[in-house]
Amino acid sequence: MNTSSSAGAPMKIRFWEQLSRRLFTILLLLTIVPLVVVQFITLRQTSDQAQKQVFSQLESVSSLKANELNQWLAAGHSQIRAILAPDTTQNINNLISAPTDEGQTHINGTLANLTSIAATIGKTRLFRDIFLYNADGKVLASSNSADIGKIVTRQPYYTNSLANAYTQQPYYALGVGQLTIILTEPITVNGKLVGVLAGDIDLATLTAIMTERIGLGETGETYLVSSDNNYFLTPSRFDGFSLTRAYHTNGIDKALAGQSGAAIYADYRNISVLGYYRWIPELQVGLLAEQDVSEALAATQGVLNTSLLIGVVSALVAVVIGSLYIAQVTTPVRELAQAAIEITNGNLARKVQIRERNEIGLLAQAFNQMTDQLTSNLKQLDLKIEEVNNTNADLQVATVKAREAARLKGEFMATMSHELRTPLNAMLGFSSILLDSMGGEIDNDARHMIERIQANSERLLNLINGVLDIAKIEAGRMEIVYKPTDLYKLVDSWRQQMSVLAEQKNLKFRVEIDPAVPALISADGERLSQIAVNLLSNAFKFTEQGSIILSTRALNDELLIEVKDTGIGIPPHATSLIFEEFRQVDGSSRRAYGGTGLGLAIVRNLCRMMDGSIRVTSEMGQGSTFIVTLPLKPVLSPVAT
Amino acid sequence: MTISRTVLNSWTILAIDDEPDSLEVVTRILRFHGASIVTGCNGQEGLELARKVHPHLIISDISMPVLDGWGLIYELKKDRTTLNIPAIALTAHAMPGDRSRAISAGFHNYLTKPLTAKSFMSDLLILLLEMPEFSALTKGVINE
Repeated sequence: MNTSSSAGAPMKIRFWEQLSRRLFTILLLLTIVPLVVVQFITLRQTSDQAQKQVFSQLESVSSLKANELNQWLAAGHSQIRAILAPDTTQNINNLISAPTDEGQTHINGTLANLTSIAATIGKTRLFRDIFLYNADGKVLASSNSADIGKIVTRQPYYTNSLANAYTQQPYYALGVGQLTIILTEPITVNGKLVGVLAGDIDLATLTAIMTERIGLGETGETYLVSSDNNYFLTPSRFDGFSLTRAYHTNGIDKALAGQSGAAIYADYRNISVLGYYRWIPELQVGLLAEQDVSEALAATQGVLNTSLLIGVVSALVAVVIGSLYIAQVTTPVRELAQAAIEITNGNLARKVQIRERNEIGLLAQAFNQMTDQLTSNLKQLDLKIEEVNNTNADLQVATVKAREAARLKGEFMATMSHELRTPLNAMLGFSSILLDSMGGEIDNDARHMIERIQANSERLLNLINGVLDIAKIEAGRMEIVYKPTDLYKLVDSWRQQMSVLAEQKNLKFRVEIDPAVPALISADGERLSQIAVNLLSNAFKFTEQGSIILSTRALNDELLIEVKDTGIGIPPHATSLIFEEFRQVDGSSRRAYGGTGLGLAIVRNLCRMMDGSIRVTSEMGQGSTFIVTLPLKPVLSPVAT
Repeated sequence: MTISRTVLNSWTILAIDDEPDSLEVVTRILRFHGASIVTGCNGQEGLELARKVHPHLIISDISMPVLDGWGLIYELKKDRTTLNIPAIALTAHAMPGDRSRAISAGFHNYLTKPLTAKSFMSDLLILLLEMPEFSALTKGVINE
């Protein structure tokens, strides 16, 4: 019987221990985690790719623009040199050596015409002004007549222009207020420098080149920065920059340090950009090609967004489908649990519906089968219990009857014993009175006959006692009462009892006790006496001459009582016979020797009841020896005597 | 050992038994040895006689009609006038435990039938010698 207080109550499953929630969580994790990981990796890869691409793009743009710039500069130089065709050079030479107004005007006009030639690049004119100065630095001719007569020795390009073709890096010309780039070509006549032809570059082209934004998206730009003062030489596409401020960024500084390369850094707006920086040695400027990181990686953002969407959607799908399938498992399981509880509480007819053809269905089926089996077993059990109860009832009745029968038998025996003894009392009583002369005189004849009456009465009494004893033993009513017994005393009483008979029959009779026999043993003295006296009576009955010896010995854990006589002996075939009821050696011996034939039967039964045994050895004409073997039970506790 | 014919002189003994033969056997033996005998044939008669006669000794059977030996001893012991009269049970019941039952009921002792004259007298004398009141009566009267 389960005495636990929670027996029968279904166990409480905590929210997060429920199978459904766990499966759900696992499902969710299994769906989301890989997605997230993949997304993350993809994102990284995509952004790396994008970055590479943008850098590549920026580098190309940078190269392209650098090339353009150089070409443009080269074109400028070419143009100036082109002016110096032989006869133009002669005219210029004439002008330098002997300036005339006419000559000057002519050259001015030529130069002015030249300035209107559009640059091949940018579709604007290449030069704002072209002017000519001699070796001393005096402007002799110019497309801008205001320049004529100026001295240019203080200009930054002057010194270099006398040596070679020179490109003056952008600078702010005094009095002009704007950036100026001067290209110079030396005029040599007969190997001797006579003057310099210089062109003032129209910076619009520069700007045009730099602000061309093909391939630069919405936030990409290219611009030039002056190595002189970190000023922007061309505008940024964004507002908020100044053309008269020195800017320092990672890209700008590196470019102006003469390096070229790609990096991610914060630009002059302090916005993260991917940038390619380049040093243009011809112009002594830095070329920056930059694009906002945000735009550059916009594509990846798109990927991110898409994957996020996919992730959320799949998570939802997983949730929905998962829930359905999880329910498919947990619902039947709950149902099974519920059914089990109901069955436990006694509703054996509860069955589980088998809806699925899968393991759950298998379980449900097996469950139902089990329930059926259980029900059938219980029915059988009930039947058996009924059977057993019936048997018990029958047994009880039988027991009562048996007890009653035993009781009746006992009563019967007691009554019989009493009834049989009562007439014998009269018989023995009267005959003994007469024989003891208590009833008057009787003559010898009468005495003899009365003696016969008494003898037969005694025989009858013995028979009755024997029969009653046998009956008692067989009815199990004979009790062996173990008491502390003085065997020495007992043996002596036997000796006393039989000594008269020994005298009468003139037989030698003695008793012996082995000193090893304990002073007190646990035994039923009356029954022992019954055995011993019985054996002794037999011995005396069947011995006419010689001796009878009773010896008591203790051997190991056994008590041996031996009665040895020198009587007529027992024939071999009869040694087991004699222990049977009403049996004597043969019919004749009964008549001759008397006795009931019950004595040895009783003796053997008594031995058995005391867990002992009896055996006999005999030789015809020599005598017999009866040996009783009994377990020697010592007295267990000290007895106060 | 022969028992003197006068050993029970001056004794009044009440003998009770429902079997006339048994009663006669006991009566003859006791009378032979000098006792005066009063007889009853059941416990009730015995009880009345005991109250009337105040014998020295009661010898009674157990199974009797009207009032049996157990009832008799119970009544005897209840009555102040009779409770001191010693009673001996004389019965054919020979079951184990009968003796102790008799003694705990109030009998002084217990003798079994069937009896012979000699055995009965010697057993009886042994019992009487145990009773201090009677040793005076029986002293010096037993001959070897």
